[in-house]
Amino acid sequence: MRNFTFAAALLMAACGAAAAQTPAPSAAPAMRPVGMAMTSTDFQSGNIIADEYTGKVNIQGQPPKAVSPQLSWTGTPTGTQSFVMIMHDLDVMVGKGTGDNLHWLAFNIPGTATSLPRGVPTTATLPDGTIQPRNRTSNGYSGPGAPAPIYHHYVFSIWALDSKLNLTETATRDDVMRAMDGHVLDKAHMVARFHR
Amino acid sequence: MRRFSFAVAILAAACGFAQAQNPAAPAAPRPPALVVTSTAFEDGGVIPDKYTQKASPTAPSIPLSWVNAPAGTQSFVLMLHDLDVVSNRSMTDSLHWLAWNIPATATSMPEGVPNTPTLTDGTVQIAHRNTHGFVGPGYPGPNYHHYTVQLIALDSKLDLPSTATREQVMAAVNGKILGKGVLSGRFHR
Repeated sequence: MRNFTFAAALLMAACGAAAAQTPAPSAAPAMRPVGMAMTSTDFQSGNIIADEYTGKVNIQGQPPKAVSPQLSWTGTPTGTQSFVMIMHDLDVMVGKGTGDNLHWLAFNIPGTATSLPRGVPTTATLPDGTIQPRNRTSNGYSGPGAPAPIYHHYVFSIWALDSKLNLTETATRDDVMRAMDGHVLDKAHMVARFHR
Repeated sequence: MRRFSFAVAILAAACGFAQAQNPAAPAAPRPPALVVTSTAFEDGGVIPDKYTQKASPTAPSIPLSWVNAPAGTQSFVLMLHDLDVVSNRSMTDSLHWLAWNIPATATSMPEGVPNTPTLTDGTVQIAHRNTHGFVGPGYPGPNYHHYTVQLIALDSKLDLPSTATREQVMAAVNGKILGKGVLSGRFHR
């Protein structure tokens, strides 16, 4: 009798635990939440980003003054060989296509990195092997520039890959994203809003 | 000869003036951009529990409205997706709602749109997760996930059934987009 009671209690406990953990409508198979998280000392995700990181501080005819915001990330998975940083403006039309405005593309960021400092140099390559292809206007970071009064949404994404990319500074965003496909271990995003 | 020189000088001056004005600028002022909002949360803000799996597995859809549909709009496409999900080492993320052929005359999606393959106004809602239409945010936490609403104005309707895939819909809208509006939300349980 005691064994039966014990077994019943165990079963009820197991069922109770399973019920508590039973997810609501499940995500598609093989989908899992990201393990990485990205933060910045210079802005909060969802909030407005300050002028010094944007085209508002640039003066036409002079080298850009806008600097990339500081970014750091946690939760990098084992096996990460490199990172890719992509920043783009969701609100921009490029013809009638599904493209948008690229503001920053950097790949082969070392897999040991846990941050990008404020003001990453706007050069095609960095000493640590990072490659920054050209966006519309420059190599490296190009500050937000949406005209008033509508806030645009600038998504910063850091992608952890299981390999480096065999591409050069002439690669386009499409080239990089095609090369990343199948190598994404994890990622993290932040969203900044801005208008002049 | 003098007349020719004068004409050349005028032309050179005109060209110089145009260059200084930035030749890439459009000739006419742009119409105001498509803007999508919700009474439920502010742009960049947190989505209330009511519209999420924290409240119910069948939580009602987020109310949305929009203004400044571009001239020539024939339909809208609405997408809600969670940026912070990975799958199979690929570039994709997690879809929570995809609807197309929203009528060009529509200026809103009310709260609690039925989870049916089509709506009475002709809107088609993608089949996914054993349902159609809106599936509430559900990420347990502790970090916030980014749930992004994207409204796209098209110059035509799409000839796709509700069993079409997200990739098929995005391929179909490519080349038809007249305007975009974005609303950014965050959530964890």
